[in-house]
Amino acid sequence: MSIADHQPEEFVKIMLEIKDLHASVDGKPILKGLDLTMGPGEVHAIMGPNGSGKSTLSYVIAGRDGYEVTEGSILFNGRDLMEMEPDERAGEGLFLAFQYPVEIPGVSTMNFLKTSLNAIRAYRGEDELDAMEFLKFVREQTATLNITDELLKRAVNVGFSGGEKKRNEVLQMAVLRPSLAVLDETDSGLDVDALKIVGEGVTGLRSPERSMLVITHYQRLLDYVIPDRVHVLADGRIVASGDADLARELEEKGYAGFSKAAA
Amino acid sequence: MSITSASQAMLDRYEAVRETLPGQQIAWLADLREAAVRSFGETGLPTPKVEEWKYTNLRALDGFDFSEPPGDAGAAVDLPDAIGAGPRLVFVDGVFRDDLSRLGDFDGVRFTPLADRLEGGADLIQPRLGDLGQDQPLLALNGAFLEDGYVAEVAEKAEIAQPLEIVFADTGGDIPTARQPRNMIIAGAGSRVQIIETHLGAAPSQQFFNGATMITVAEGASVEHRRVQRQGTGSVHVNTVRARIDNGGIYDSFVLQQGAAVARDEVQVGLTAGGSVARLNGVYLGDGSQVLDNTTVVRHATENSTSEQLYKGALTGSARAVFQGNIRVEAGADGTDGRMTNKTLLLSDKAEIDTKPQLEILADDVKCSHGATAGELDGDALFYLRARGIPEAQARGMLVEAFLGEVIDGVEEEPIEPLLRDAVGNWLAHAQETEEV
Repeated sequence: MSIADHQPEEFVKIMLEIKDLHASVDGKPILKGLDLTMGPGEVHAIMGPNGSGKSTLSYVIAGRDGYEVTEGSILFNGRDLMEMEPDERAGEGLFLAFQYPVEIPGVSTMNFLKTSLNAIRAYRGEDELDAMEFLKFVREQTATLNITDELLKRAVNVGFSGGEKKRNEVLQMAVLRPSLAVLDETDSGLDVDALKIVGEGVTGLRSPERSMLVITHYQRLLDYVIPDRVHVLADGRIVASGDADLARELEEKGYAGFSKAAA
Repeated sequence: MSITSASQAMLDRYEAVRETLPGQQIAWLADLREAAVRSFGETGLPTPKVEEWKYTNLRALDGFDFSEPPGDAGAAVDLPDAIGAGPRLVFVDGVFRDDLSRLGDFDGVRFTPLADRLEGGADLIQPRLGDLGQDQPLLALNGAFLEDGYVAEVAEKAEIAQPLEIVFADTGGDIPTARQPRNMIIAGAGSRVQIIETHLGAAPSQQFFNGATMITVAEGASVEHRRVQRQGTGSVHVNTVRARIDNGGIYDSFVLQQGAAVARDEVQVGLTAGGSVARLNGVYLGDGSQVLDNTTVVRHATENSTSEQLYKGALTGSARAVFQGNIRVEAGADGTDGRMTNKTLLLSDKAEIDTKPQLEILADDVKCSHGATAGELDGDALFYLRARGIPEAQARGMLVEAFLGEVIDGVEEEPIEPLLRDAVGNWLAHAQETEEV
């Protein structure tokens, strides 16, 4: 009897299963039959040129309005993701690190983090953390990300530098502890130092229970977060898959060959 | 020119009650009343043909039958808890209620009903009543009836630690009534005081509230004037504030407009000397078919005065709000700094805001700005919150509270702050139960 046989019933070997996904924005088809399967703890990278559908994939997974799934399915831990509201998806353990984190004037970062965590705990039937417990918990997460208490007091992303915004995304991921994190161009707009902090922060959150889908145009974040699998997205479909070496190959040769293959 | 039926009803009512009005035995006051009623009779209540009333129509008053006598002067009433530990004057159905008020000696301030001050008031009261406001029909009407009200007289250099509270409560009933209190705030040089007015009404009552408050802020004095307008849903509420601010004085006004069917809060400020400051802020929360009007007129009369205005509101149902802000900078009033901002969240398709910020600048060297925005909740922000696990209704509520919080932050740590935050929270909860918010 293998160890897997002793896992509780809810343990699933497939965390995310996307089948033949077609999605449109404003009636225009963007994803055209995308397939992707990820196991628990795996890190997959999706790379592709601008306009290949990378951000559309992240928004479809997170449930943004205006991204219409016309065909196919997405199962998350065996459940139909399309049936869930965005907040329910988060409650189920999904997290999207935004390419462009949104500014929310009038809501402090601390209040935002606390409200989010408690909403997810409530969804799971867990007790809310009180203010002291929460503060202690957040402080544990902020240290490695070089995030000050002063930043936590500021309104969410308002007046944040590009690096602060991305670090704030990683902080949210650390606080909410998702089972699947989708990182949409988390490396964009970062200088070398900020990239290092973010890259190390994300790497520190790798665990056997947490899968990551790293969506990126460049290979540089993948120097920190070494992927188990790399997929090339072109014209709305996965056109090639491989190991981490594929990312390096793309960095050298570019997407030209793949885009032609897709056309 | 014909006047509206409500205007005629007011004139008829005046004839019926004139002999019973407070201070009618005082000759100068009786003369002022007569002049005021004549002035009102020439125009009647303003209609939308009058530019200043283009967006707010008082025709609802035409349905009120003012001919019956008002109700029981000793009516029972549920009052909210006192906001501070200071003195409190309570007026129920227009009548001062000694039994519900908290008077007593408070150092540095004389805080009484107006009716107590009319006799022998020729020195202090008469000059401050002026012509009773015959330049404006609603002030003239208020002056004609001049029922009662409060007088807060703060001694020079007195710093009043506790807010002075006033409650105007209406117990409702089937009989439409008109309440026309006249108030005065007289802040001596270098004094500090906070005044909190609360306007309450039983839900369906048809009350016409037409209040007027005359304020003088002497040199270096500070007056914080808070108004919480939660009148009954059938009411028409007009409250006119006229403040004159002397050298280095500060008039700081905040109004929450939440009640009544039709409501207008109008603040007129004269910055008459250098270094004088006016801060006018407000929050409005409208639902159903309410009309909530905030009108301000700020006149910078001499050099180096400052005014700041921020009015923000949220509307649902088919509620409509009006913001009319006028900053006038007189010739020679160089160094004026005048700012005015109005922002509205429209939470339903039928909600509407009519906003009209105006600058009239006759001086050369001034800094003046105005801005107005109206729109829905930010969809990107909403999705961001929901993607972090926050359910939609809660996320929308957070965004509305954050939006209005910018104004409420201006009264942070004041006794009134928790009440305002609760008001927003409760309004939202109710709106979310009854409408798509």
